[in-house]
Amino acid sequence: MISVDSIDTIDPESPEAAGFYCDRPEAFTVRMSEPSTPMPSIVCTDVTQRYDDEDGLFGSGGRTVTALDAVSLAVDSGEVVGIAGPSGSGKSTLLHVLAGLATPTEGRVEIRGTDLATLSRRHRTRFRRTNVGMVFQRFHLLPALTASENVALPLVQEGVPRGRRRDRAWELLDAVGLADRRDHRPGSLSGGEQQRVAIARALAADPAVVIADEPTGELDRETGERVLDRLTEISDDRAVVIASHDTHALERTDRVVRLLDGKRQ
Amino acid sequence: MTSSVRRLVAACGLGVRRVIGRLRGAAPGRMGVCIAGVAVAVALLFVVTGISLGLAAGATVESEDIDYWIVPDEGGAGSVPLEAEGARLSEVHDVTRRLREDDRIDYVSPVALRPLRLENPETGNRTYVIAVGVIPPDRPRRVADMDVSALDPEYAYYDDGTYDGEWSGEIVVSPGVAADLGLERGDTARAARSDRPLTVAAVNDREMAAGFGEVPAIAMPLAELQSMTGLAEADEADQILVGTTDPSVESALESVYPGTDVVSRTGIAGAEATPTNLPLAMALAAALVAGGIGIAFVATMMGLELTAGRRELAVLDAVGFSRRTRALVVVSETITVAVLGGIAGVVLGAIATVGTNAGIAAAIGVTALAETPPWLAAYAFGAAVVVGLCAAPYPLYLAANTDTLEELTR
Repeated sequence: MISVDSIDTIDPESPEAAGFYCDRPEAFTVRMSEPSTPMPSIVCTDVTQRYDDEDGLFGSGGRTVTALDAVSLAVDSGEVVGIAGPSGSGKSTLLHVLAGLATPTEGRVEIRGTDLATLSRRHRTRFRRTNVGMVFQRFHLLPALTASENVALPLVQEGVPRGRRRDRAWELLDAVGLADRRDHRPGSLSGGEQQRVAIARALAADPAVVIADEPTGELDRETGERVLDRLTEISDDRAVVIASHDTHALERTDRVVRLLDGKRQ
Repeated sequence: MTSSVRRLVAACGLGVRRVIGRLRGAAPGRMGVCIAGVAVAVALLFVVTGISLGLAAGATVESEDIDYWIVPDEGGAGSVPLEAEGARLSEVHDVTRRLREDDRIDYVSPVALRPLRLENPETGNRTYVIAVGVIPPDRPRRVADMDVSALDPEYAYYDDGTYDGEWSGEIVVSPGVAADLGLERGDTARAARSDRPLTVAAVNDREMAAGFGEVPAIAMPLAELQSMTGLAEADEADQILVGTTDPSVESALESVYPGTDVVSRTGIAGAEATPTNLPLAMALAAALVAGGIGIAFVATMMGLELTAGRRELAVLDAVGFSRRTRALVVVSETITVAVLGGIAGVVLGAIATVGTNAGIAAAIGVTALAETPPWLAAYAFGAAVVVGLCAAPYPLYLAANTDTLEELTR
C-alpha cells in the first residue's frame, strides 16, 4: 500500500499505483495525481477479442468467434459514452475488457494511463477495485447483505475500518436517495432501488471509471430514467460508459459508439 | 490495527454476515438444513461420548475400608460392573482363603456382579437388578453401597469347596428394588430361571452407585449367586476386594493371579482415566461417525450452497475481492455453519442426554447412565469447528473454479 505523501512520485503504470488507499483515513478520497499532460480516462486501442466456440460435438467445435475486431475508443473524465449495438455485437465483451475482467487477444487497454496488459491477474483485480466501478443489468447484489453492506463491499478488501465503511455506504445511499432503505436486503427493494444500490456500490471506492452494462434493462421507463439520472450525475469527475439497447438511455449520453459484429461503425 | 488485519477480520465478518443473512431470509431452508445436519452429528457425538464416559466411570466396586482391588487385566479398573461376558477371576474362594492367612489383610472378599431378573411371587412384579455376590463379613461393612452385614457370616452354602451346604437365600435389596417389587424384610423373592427361594434379610438405606448413576441392586452370598448364574463351575468372580493398612501387601496381591491388575485406592483416578476397550471404542466410533457425517454434510450442503451462489463469488471478484479474500469468505462461511451447528448440537445433545438417561432409568432403573461433564460441551463444539475446517476444501475447490465472466453473463 502506498502512502499519500508518495502518490505523486509513483509510476502510474506500476502495480502499486492500483491501490490508492492508505492507512491514513484522509487518503480515502485521494486519487493518483494527474500526469502532466491530460489524457483520457479510458484509451482502448485496436482491441480484438477472439474466443473458441465450444458448442460443437464434445465441446470441440473449433470455430473461432471474433467478439471484438480492432475496436478503438477513448473516453475522457466527465464524459458519458454510450455503447450501442444489437445483441451479440460485442457490447458486453467490450465492457468486460475495459473493466479488466477479460484480457483482449490483441490491442491495448489503458485506464488512467495504466496498461491493463502489464498487470498480473491479482494486480488487475486490485486495479479494478480502486479504479473501475461496475453496474450490471441484473444488479448482482448479495441477497444476504443489507443495502448498506452491499455498498461497502469494495471497501472490505481495502481493509477500511468498519465505521468508515458504514459512513461511506450511508453517504452514497443518501446520494442515490436510499437513506431510508440502507438496512433493507435486496429482496425487499424494488428493481430501481436495487440498481441504485448497485450504482452506490460502484462508487464506493470513488473510481475514475464507471462501467454500466444495460443498467436499465430490467427496469420500467420511469425507474430507468431515475437510474440514468444518477449515472449521469456521477460523471462530473469520472468517465462513464453505458452499454444499452435502450435508445432512450443512449440519448442521455454525450456520444454513442456503435458496434456491429464486433466492429465499430 | 493494520489494514491487512482489518481486511482479514472484515472478510471473516462478511462470511458470518452472509450465513446469518441467509438464515434470516435470503435462503433459510438450505442453510437451516446444513446447520441441522451438523447439529445432529454433534448431538450424536455428545450423547454417545457421554454414555461412554458413564460406562468408563463405572470402575471398581466401591466399599468402605477397601484399599486394593484385584481385577482382570482385560477388564481393568475401568471395567463395567454390568459387563456380561468380560474377563473374570477364577478359583476365587481358594484365593480368598489363602489371602486371609496373611495377617496384614483385614478383610478380603471376591465380588461378582451379575444382572438378574427378580420377581415378587406374591404380586408378580418383576424388575432387573444387579446382583452383588460377596462373602459376608463378620462385622458391619458396605460393599457397593450395600450394607452386607445383614447376610449370615456363616456362609454355609459354600462348604469346604463345594456348593452343597445349606441354602440361605438371603438378600439385601436396595430401596428402589424394594419399592418396585413391594418387598419388605422377611418377604420372599425369586430370580428368573431359578427355583431357589430368596428371602429379604434387609432393605438397604440407599441405592447402589455404579459410577454412571444409581442402579437397582441386591446383595447376596457369593456362592449362591455363583450357583444361580453359572459362575460356580470355575468359582468365578469379577474382582477381589482387599482391606489392609499395610501397603507392603500390594506386591503379594500382584502375584496372586498372573495377568491381573492390582488397583490401589490412590491409583483409581489414574486407572479410571484409562477407559477399557468398550467405552473407548464407543467414544472413538462416535467421534468418527459424527465427524464423518458432519464433514460430508457440511461439504455437500456448502457445495450446493456455493454452486447456487457462484454468481455472488463472481460479483466479489468483479468488485475487486482478491482470490485469497474470496477463499477466506468461503472458509469463514463454512466454519460459521459448523459453529452454529455445534452450538445447536451441544444444546440438542444435552437435551438428548437427559432424555436418554430418563429413558434408561424408566426401562432398567439405571439413572444418569450418560455423564455430561462441562468439558464435553467444549469437546463437542471443538469437534464442530474441526468438521467445518475439514469440510472447507470442497467449497474452496468450487470457489476456485468459478468463472467470473460466465457467472456474470449467465
